[in-house]
Order: sequence, then C-alpha cells, then structure tokens
Amino acid sequence: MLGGWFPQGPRTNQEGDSMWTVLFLATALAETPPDLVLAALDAELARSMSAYGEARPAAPPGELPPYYMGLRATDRSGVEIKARYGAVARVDHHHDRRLDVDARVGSHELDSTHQVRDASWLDFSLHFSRPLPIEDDTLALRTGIWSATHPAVSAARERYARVLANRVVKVAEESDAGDFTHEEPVVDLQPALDFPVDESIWSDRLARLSERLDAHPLVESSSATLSTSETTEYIVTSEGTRIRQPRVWGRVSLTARTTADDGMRLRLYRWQDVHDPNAWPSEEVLMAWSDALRDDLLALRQADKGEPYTGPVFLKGAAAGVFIHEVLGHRSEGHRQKDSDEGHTFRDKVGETLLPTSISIVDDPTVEAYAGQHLNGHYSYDQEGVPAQPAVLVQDGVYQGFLMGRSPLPGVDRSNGHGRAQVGELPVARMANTIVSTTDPQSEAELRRQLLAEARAQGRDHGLLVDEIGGGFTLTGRVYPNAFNVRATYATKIYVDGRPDELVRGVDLVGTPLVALTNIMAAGNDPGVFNGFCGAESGMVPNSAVSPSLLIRQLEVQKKEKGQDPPPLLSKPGAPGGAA
Amino acid sequence: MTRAASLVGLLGLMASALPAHAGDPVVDALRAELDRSVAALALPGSPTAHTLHYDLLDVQEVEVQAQLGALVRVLDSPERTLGVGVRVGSPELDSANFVAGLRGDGFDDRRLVEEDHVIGVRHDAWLTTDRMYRQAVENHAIKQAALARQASTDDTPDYVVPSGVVFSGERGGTIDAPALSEMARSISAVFRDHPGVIWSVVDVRAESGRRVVLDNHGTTVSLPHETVSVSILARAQAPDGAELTDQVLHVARTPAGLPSSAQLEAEASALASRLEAWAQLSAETESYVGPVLFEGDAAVELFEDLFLPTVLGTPPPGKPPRGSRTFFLPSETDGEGGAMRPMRRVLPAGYTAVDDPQVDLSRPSSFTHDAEGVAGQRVNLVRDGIVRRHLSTCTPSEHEPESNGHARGAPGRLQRAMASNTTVAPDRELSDRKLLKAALAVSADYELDYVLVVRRLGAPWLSSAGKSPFRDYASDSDPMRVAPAEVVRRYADGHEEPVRGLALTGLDVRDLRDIVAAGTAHTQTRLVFPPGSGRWDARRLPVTLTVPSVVLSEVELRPASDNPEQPPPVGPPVADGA
Repeated sequence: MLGGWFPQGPRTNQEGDSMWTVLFLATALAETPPDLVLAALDAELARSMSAYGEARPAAPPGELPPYYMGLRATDRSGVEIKARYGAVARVDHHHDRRLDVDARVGSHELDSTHQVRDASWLDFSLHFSRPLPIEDDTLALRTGIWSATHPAVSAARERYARVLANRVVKVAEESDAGDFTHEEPVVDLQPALDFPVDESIWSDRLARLSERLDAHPLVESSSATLSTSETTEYIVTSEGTRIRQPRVWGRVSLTARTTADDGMRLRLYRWQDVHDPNAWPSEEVLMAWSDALRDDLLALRQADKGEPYTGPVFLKGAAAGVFIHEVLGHRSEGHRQKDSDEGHTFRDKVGETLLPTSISIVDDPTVEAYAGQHLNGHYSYDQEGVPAQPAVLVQDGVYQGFLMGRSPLPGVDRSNGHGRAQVGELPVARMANTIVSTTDPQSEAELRRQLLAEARAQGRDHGLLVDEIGGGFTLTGRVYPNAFNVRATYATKIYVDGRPDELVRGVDLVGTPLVALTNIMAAGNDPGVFNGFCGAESGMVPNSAVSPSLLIRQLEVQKKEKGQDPPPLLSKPGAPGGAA
Repeated sequence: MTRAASLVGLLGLMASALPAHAGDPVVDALRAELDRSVAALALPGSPTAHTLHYDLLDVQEVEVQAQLGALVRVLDSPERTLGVGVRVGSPELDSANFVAGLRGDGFDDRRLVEEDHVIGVRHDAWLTTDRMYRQAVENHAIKQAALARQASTDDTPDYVVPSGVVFSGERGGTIDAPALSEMARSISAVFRDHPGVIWSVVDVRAESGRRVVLDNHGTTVSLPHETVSVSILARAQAPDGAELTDQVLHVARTPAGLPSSAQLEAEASALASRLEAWAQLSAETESYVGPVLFEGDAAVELFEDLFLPTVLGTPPPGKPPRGSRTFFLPSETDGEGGAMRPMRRVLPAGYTAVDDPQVDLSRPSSFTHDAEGVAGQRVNLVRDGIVRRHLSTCTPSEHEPESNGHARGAPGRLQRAMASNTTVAPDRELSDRKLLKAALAVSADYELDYVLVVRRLGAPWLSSAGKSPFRDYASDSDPMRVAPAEVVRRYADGHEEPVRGLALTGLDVRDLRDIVAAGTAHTQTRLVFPPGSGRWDARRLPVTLTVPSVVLSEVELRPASDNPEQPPPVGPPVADGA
C-alpha cells in the first residue's frame, strides 16, 4: 500500500493551482512504474479546476465554477463461461474503463445535487459516465477525461439554477441539512489484484456440471456459469483525495428451470461468491449441489401451490438476512431521510426499541469474511472516497441511526463510508455487509418448537419454514404502499398435528416494515450468509446479509405470479423416451 | 424462362447433387429437430405449422474501437444465433406478418451453445420452436378474427412455398482480430495531430462465418457470411459552439477488400483537416433556395433514403382494425409501407433502376441465395422513370406474387425485402463540366452565380438511430435537424467556397422527379437498417448503391438551429501539447 491519510484538511478552490502541480509531480516521482490512469486523472482535474477558476462575487449560476469535482475511473475486466446441457454455451471476455464525474456547483450547504421538489421524472440526469481507453496512453486518457468534465460542470450549473428557483417557489423544506459533508481527504494507492482463471479446466467442469443438472426429462433448461471480475477503482477529487483500490470477485452458479403442469414456471438458482481464486468449491461439492438443485426443483414441481396465509414464519439464516435487508436496511439509508418523497419510516425512531433486546444490527464494510465465507459488501473506501466504517443500525434492539454517504442529515454531518454506486451512477447511501447478531441464540429445534406453539396459539394448522429465497424488493416512498416482498423459492409447511412437513411452491412473503420488525420473536444460532447485488438509485452494488434464523410471529404470504404456458409439447431431445 | 430463373434452376440442380452438409453436427442436429417438430408439434384443435424455418447465423464477431491511438473496446467472440420462424395455418392465410400489440408473431431468436454439441443445439432449438409454435397459433387466431372484422381483404396469399434448394457455399474465414485492432489504433492516432478535432473514434467491425437456412420444404442452404466495416468519425466545434461531425465509412466483404491502412490514415487526416477548416468558417445566416447538386456520398444517401423504400415489396404487417382493443403497436410497423405502386413515376423519364444480388459476389451486399434460401435474382425495378417491379420475398404482395430472392434481415424475424446492389442510371450521363453548366443554368433562374453542392451529409448517428436525414427534417423545430457535413458553393470557373451552418429542409420522394441533370456514377456500400427491424437492436445490412450525381431543381436550406452549448474553457489536452 502506498500513501496514507492525507495530512491536510479539506482544501477549497481558493488554495489556487500550485497544489495540483505538486500532486501531479508527486505522482510521477513516487510511483514506479507510473500509473498513467492516475496521472491522467490528476492532470485533467488540475487543469479543469484551474480553468474554471474562483467564483466571482454575484456571479449567476451559469458562470459559477465547481466547488467540488470528483473523478472516478473504473477499470473492469473478467470472463464469463456458461455451459448448458453438457456443452460450453459461451465464453465472454470483457474489459472496459469508465469515467464518472461528480461536479458540484454551489456550496457544501446547498449545491446542484439538492432535491428539486415536484420535478418531473423526465428531469435530466446530473451524472455523466464515459468510456475511457483501455490502453495506457496518456493523451487518449486525458482527452477522454477532458471530454467528460465540461458537460458535467455545465449540467451542474444549470441544475443549480433550478435548485435556487425551486427553493424560492416551494414551501420550506422538511430538512435543513446541507448537501455535502466535509471529509478528510485520503491518499491510499493500493496495488491492483489478479483473479486468474483456468478457462479450459472450468469449461470442462461447467460442461460436466450442466450435464448433471440437465439429467432429467422434466428439467427444461439449466446452466452452470462461472463469472469473474478484476476491478481497479480510482478516485481523485478536488479535495485532495487520491485512491486506487482493487476488488476481485468470482461466482460459480447453477440454475435450472421447469414448468409445473399448471403452468407455474419454477427456477432454482444457487451460487457461491469468492474473492480469492483459491477458494472455489471443489468439483465434488459442485456436483453434489447440481444433484441437490435438480432434485429440489423436481420436488417443487410436484409440490402443492401455496395459498395466501398469515401466521408465524421461520426464516432460515440467509433468508432472514434478506428480510432484514429489505425491511430495515433500505429504510436506514441516510439520503432517504431528507427526501420529501420518501416514507421516513425510521427517521424519528432513533433511540426507540424496535426489535428484541437480544438483537443488534450493524452494517460493516470492513468485514472481509464471516464464518469462512467471503462477504460481497467488503471494501476499503466507498465511491465518494470515504473510508469504510461500521454503522450501527440497531444495538440491543434499539434503533441507532443511518447509513451515511456524503449527503448530511440534521445532526449527522459526516459520512460513515456508505456512499456507494455502480459504474455510471452517482453515489448515495447504501448497505454493504448487513450483519444481524443475537445474544440469545436458539437451536433450530427450539425455534421449530416455538413456531408450532405460535401457530397453535393463532389457531393455524401449520407454520411456514422458508429455507431459501431468490431475493426481494421494497418500496420506500410515500405514494405506493410502504411494503416489502421477500421472494421465497423453497418453503415448507410445518404442521402442528405432527403430519410430515410439506413443500409448497409459489409463495412470497409480504408486509410492512414496522409491523414486521416488531413481530420478530427469536433468533437462531446458525448465522447464514447471503451474497448478492442490490439495486437502487445508484445502481447495482455488491453486498451481503448475514443473519441467524429469525422467527417472526406473523407474516403474510401472497401467491407468486404464475406462468400460463404448459410444459413443452414435445419431449426433451436426448431425454429417455425423447428424441435421440 | 428468364435468365435469372434459369440460373436458379442450374444452381439448385448442381448443388443438390453434392453431399451438402454431410457430417455437419450442427446442421444435422437442427435438421433432426426441425423434422421432429414439423411432424409432431400440434396443439389439440389448433392448426399445425405449414412452415418451420430455421436460420442459423454462425460467425466470429469482432468489434474494435480506438481513440487517439488507444483501444477503447475490443470484442472477439463467436456468435451462434438460431432464428426460428413458425407459420401456422395455410400458405393462403397463416399466422405471419400480423402484429397485435406486444404478442409474439412466431419469430424469435436464441443464442445457441458454442460447441458442436448435438444435444445442446437440439435443446435450444426445441425450446424456441415450442414457444414460437404457441405464439403462431395465438397470432393466427387473432389475425383471423381481425380479418373477419375488416370491411375488405385482399386475396394475396400469405406465403409462397419455396422450391427447396440445397446449396452449400464456403464459409467465411477467420478474422485476424489483432490486425484489425492495430488498424484501428493506427488510424485513430492520426487525430493526435489535429487539436481542432475535439472527439474522434475509429470503429472497426467484422463478421465472418456462415448463415444456414433450413425449412421443411427441402431448403438447406449454407451461405458465406462476411462483412467488415471501418467507420472514422470525428467532431470539431466552432467558436460559436456549433458541433461539426463527419464520417468516413468503408464496407467490404473481407479486410482485404478495404483500403490499406495508409489510405485510411490519409482519409482520416483529410477528414480532420476539413473539419478544422470548416469550424473556422462563419455560419450562414440566410436561407438558400435554388438548385442543389448532390454528388458523391450525398447522392448515394439521397437515393438510399428516398428511392429504396419505394421498391421494397414486402407488405407491411397487418394490424387489428381501428376500434379493436389493441392500442400499442411495436416499432416493427414503423417506417413500412413505403413501396410505390407499379406504373407510377418515381424518377425522370429515361431513368432505369435495377437490383442484382449476384452482380459481383465479392461485394458484401451480394449473395447467391437470400435468407429464405431463394436464389437472388436481378430485378428491373424502374424503366423510363416508372416503377415496374418490387423486390420480394416468400411473403408475397399483390404486385409480386413470387419471391425474387431479396429476403434480408436478422435471424428470428420475418424476412422482408431489401435491396442488395442497386444501380440507378439516367438516360444521359453528363461530364462534370457539363453537369456544372446545367446546374448553373438553373441557378441563373434564381439569380445566383453559383450552385450549392452537397457532398456528404455526415450525420451517422441519425442512421444509427434509424432516422432519415431527408424525410425526417421537415421543419425548423426538429431538434435533430443537422447541417450536411460538406457543402460548398461552386462557381462557373470551378472554384469553390465552403459553407457552414445550412441545414436541409424536408425532401420527399416526389422531389426525385425534379432531377434536372445527372452526372457520373458513384458507388458506395452503406449499412442500412432492414425494414421492420426494430432499429436499435438490429444488425444493419450492407447495400451497395451506384447512382449518378444529380441536380435537384429547387431545394431549401435554412440556417441550422441546433442550439449549441458553450465550448469548454480549456481545449482538449492535445491542444495543450499534453
């Protein structure tokens, strides 16, 4: 690792141009070999900030210089290998570089990113992302950066004028927080990382896995896929931050689909994410997964359709993590607390007890792995260049606060390193590794006993056990119901009269956040990890949810959408009894 | 029997005698699945497929982008896409060429496994065929119901069964992707020496492999599929903010058919110099009305845009009648139905137009057989300025009851008629000197001592968007109205003055009748969207046009109003010597 904390405080554009020269020279002298991407970002940022100059007194918005500019360049490469039915379906290599420019006009207190109330959904985008050359050529890189900066500044100026007008014509805002926190600049230049893949070995392996997945006449389609990426992210800002941080990631995934006789399309998808090329599951393990996935899918095909239900639900570890992510996580994202279109579910709940006192929740991007599993939400710095930090959301059942990017809240004037975005989007506060813990862990048998007891108490003939979910979503605004949907893919009825457990298909868990949270009864001793990618305003970002199983007193189950096409008319080619 | 028909018969006979596709596991697998599906695919009480069409595009695809000597994007991958088309009912009335809302019409594609794996290939074909059959059955019922509501219908059948040709051509060779990358690098590096060009990109795309067409009428046609294009695109900005964009485009069958890298670099350099000089001109503030000489690439664009649609004979898709409950129609129906009825004038007297897919098989626009496996035939489209014939496919029209082998388009869509090698010729071709003299004679009527010459439109993003540079610019308020890239005033002594900032107003196909003089022919291969392609996602088709320079008697150009943005406070790094 090169560099460290930048010793100076936040600079302003009154500090002049000399500093940029120093920075640029320092880059050239300190690094061997020189990082041309970083040098190009440094040089163009310096040139732009110098060219726009200082703000003239009483200058109209259209002539204001940016008070802040951040350049984020992301170099991504990787491979995806997919196999179907015993054959390699495709091998795709990719490599690109993108530049994201965050230009802000105004001041930290009020700037061009401020919410324009009652804006049309056609309101123009403030953000600019452009391709950069994938080869290290200084002139080409600098020209690519240059061509992106002026449009970003022009758009920021225009939007700032709209922000000022909007404040004049609208009522007073609910939040008087500023628009951009003051943060210490950081210099940390980490080396890039490799994630080597032996494509030949993996192609053969995936073909074998896909053949195994397909080994039943009723499996209509299936695939085994390996995806890897090597990313190096550069963040250079007018405040003096200079970051180069690597990220490597790989996923092996299996999926299979079938159609029930009533037309319901059924799909199971299972995967493992790794951040170390030596951490892949063995082929034996993957073969066992293939067999299990295929058998589980066929069992689901035979299962009864789920019906609307309300009653106790036992969410197994990873499923519980996604439940917390949808119900509490998104509503704890800082920028939502001052958006007048948002529901503000937890904005005024700080200090209130929302969960059993045995339960705590922290979102901590500094955690690399949990119980031997890599966590997707780990990073050193967020996309605003702020160091990753743990953010305690719930401590001993009491709600503590929010995930913060650089959009401040009343009384919260610093980021806690959760300003995240995918390439091509502007960062907002997002989850990273959302980790639920309990001081009163219960065994699975005990949770199952409590589930049945609660079902009896509610007059139900069964409770519901959810083993596996495929994801979820939630609505956090004011107009539409402030609700969530956790997409169950593998759920079982547990009968109070001792009948055998019964698999059900086609159910989703739905509800509203405050009711759902206050219905949490107990937690297990079996933390599970869900590694995935979460989509929101700032795009898809990798994250993780870690949670023990949770027993919920009452949740509602609704029917999942169902296809209307029956299974294919002809038998599967190559299947026993089908076409040879 | 015509010469073209004789050729078809001969080719079919010769090729049939060869052991075409013997031992090709992919073709064998597709044939097996096609035969099985035709024999057994049936829903109780529903019509079966009278035609099942498989259309395999099996190519190496290379895309390279470079800017200022550095690569921006490189793609080199195999692509094996299977198009499946199912037509149920009967050839007289079937499920195809009818669009009702967002329902499928029995045509779609799927990316196949890359390996020559029989089960894998059949599996993908099986799923897609099953889905397309259901779509076709539903579309057939909707179409029948809609026709029953219509006050009048025509008796033209929906399909002409092809004769079932067996033909095996040689597949295209391997593309040298590193060589194309190096070419893109070297061309794009030219712009490093042109600080007045604020943005440039060199885009090289190549495809090479084969296209295989199978159907249940005995067609098994394997064709070479080869195209390579080089686009050099550059932009300069005038001090008043106006952006000037121009493009050099070359399309060939193989890289060997392109100009050399040195020639392309010279063209890039000339393009950059021209833009830099153009940017220094003052913009015109007065409108122009008078004759315009379209020459070179601009003449090709004029005929591509205004003339070609008049001879594309595939009927536009049927739609539910007015008053039905289908409100949303997909873009596939946009821009169709432009064919001009035969025996109507489209060009001045004495003009001819022909299209011949087999005129020169080294061209990227040439083919022996079309995408329905029908041999491409020469068609005399226009004689003495009057439309006589249309280009047609197995989806016939009132005027073209048979296919003449012009089905072109991406796999997985109903194949529509498209031109291949179109030649437009006047009865009298003037030399450059006489053409100028003729144009100046018209100018004199407008009290002008020069003629305005448009050499190139240079708005490639418009063709990428499926926009017409002529027809879509009818009004000053059109925000995408652009000035042609190269316009000059040409005087009687031959000297020229460049003109910046005048934009064409709308031109119509009827304006072609007002051509008052024509000069020497110019040939250019362009990439054209197939009709009904959905535009953005479509693969553009190479079409070669050979057309004369022409003088239109009266054209209006007005000052462009593209509301430019302020130039940035600092120029590009190249201008700073970075």
